[in-house]
Amino acid sequence: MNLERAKSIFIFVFLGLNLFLGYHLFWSDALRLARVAVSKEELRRTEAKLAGQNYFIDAVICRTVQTSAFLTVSPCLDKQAEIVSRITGILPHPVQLEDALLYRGQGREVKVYPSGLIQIFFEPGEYLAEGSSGLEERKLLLAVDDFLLGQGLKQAQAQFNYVERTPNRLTVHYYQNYHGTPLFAGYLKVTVEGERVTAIELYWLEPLESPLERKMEVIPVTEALLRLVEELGPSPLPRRIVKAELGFFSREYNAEKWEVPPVWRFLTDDQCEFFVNAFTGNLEDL
Amino acid sequence: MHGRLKSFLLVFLVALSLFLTYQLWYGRMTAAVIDEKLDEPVYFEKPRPLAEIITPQRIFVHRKEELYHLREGDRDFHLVWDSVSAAMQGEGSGSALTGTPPEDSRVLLTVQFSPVLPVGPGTPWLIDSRFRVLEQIELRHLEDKAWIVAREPGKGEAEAFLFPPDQAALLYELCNSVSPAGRAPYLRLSPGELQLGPGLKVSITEGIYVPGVPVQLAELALKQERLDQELLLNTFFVNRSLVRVIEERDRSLIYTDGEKGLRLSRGLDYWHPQLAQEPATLTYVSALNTVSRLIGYYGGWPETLRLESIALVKKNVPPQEIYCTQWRSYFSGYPLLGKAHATMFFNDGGLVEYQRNLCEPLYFAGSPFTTAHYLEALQAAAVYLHTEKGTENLVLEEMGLAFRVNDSVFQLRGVPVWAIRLSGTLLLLKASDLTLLEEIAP
Repeated sequence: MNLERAKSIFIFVFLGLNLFLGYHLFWSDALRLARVAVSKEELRRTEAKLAGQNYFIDAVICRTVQTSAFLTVSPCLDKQAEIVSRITGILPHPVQLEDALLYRGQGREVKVYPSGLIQIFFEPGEYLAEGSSGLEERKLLLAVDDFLLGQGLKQAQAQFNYVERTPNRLTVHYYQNYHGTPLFAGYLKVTVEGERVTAIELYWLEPLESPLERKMEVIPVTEALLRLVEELGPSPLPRRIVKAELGFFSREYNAEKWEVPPVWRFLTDDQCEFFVNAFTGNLEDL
Repeated sequence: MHGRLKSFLLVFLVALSLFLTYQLWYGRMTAAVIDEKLDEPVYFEKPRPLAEIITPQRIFVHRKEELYHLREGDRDFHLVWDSVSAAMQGEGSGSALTGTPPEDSRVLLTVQFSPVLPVGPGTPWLIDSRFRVLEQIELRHLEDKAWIVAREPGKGEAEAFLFPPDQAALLYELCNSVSPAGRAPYLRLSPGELQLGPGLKVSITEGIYVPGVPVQLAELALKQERLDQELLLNTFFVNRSLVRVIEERDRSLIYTDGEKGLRLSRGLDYWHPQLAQEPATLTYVSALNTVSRLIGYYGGWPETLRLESIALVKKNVPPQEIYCTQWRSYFSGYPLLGKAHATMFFNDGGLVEYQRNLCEPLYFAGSPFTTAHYLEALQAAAVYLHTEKGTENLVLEEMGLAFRVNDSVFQLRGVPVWAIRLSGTLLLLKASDLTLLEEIAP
């Protein structure tokens, strides 16, 4: 038997051995990648249970297995001075309120909270567009976008969330986007009354660490939905769940930095947001 | 060329197989190994047995006309209590009498309990007793006989137990072994009104004892308790991968899994609000065993720490009964007051709230000084409340010497103080010059 032939035999032997070892090491992970977290049958069962409590799914449901990790964030405090001087014209001497600093400008007030939250009030309001409250959503968003750009408040990471309408006003909600995943804890709200923007609320976060480490499988969206309805109880009126997304959420902390858990965010047709911890299934408080 | 490629491929496959074999062998734990790790006990200390959970609030040694006071941390306190406790335990724990000891028998010891001492079946003490709990016991002696006269709380009913001669001799010897050297004799303040000056009088309540002469004391050097944080986290959170961290601006850390939270700074704060609405149905003995388990698991029970109180209280909205327990550190017979304590709320569901900020007493630091006389201290406290706060009808509820822990992070010290509770307000006056250090409103 010549050397080349022996080499070929050994190559096949070791190839077989490596396949055997690789199977034992990685097969379970490979299976998980192809696995669905929510089968069609399970989705139907969940829909039926929800319907029994007067909740109806009207959103795209992610059925594949999802993984996520805690995201470390800190409050974004760098831009506070810049925003205050841009809104008020100069950086005036602040008035110390019980829980915030108040800056007054011509027809404008800016409240800066230690947590990083910034509230801007316009008196009597900044003109947005004619018939703003009656505009169709696309045109309204374009107008608000232009307004934020004009005020120097446009955030590159801001992603449209939803519009909340009441008889006298409407509020356009944005959330912070982190590498394509919603970071619901960071938000921007623009309040419009009539044709004018009367208030803006900005709470922006600084993601510090990549969530790639400590990645874990999250609970299926159906499990989160059932936990939510278990917590909320039956609804007196039919309620539709219009969005179901995986993102990050925690309440505001007046802290140096903190870890934000992954959540399943559910938005209902009456513009209520609910966040279910995607690891534990607990409802995160607003 | 073809041959070299084959050689290269073969070498690569051999190396890959070695790497994969290594990964398979060492890289992943088997389920059995993981299970073993999960089974490892995660706690600081094993629970104390019931006989070690309760210690007396104070022991008075009667010597002729003098009264000597022993408290937790005193060199003779444990010697006396261990012997008395042992005499009250087991088969030979005295036989119950229908009558009382002779009138001419002499009181050797008075032992007071707060929290009360559980006795009778299911406890280590006086298993033949008809009482369930005791507030006080007296050790009486006459010739070769010794009796324990046990007293129930509130009603004041008494029950006597006679000890065999050999045990009586041992207890008599023990009481005589307590040296009065270096101890100030104590006085029992007579209940009634005490005139402290023109227009300034104080009503004295029952059971107040003070040192009759000034005492020599010095500042106390303390060390902040430092707990193993990793172990602490493992005791509170079963699944650490679900725990997230919040770093506060003062560098305190909050760990939470969304249901319960643990804040670590100088001490620890823990809360599990979901359990707050569970019932609290444990018996007194079960509650004592539970607190021993809880403090043992969550941080441990240092030698210097005494269980000060355990009571069912109403808390939360809507009000729900819950057990509240408090611990305090002692050194040389004096309690450490101020920000050095442990408090726990629990019910049938488990631990609901827990605060722990403890100091380890090290030694007397600095030069000793003579404390102010008790009358001067009482007068200073009464004048302050009367003139500064306008409090009328002053009632003295509690009085004693203690150490107040200062707030300094760098040089933690215990300052000797007179702790005086007048009409619900606790005043801590520096024992040297009676400067007011702290006022704690009711």
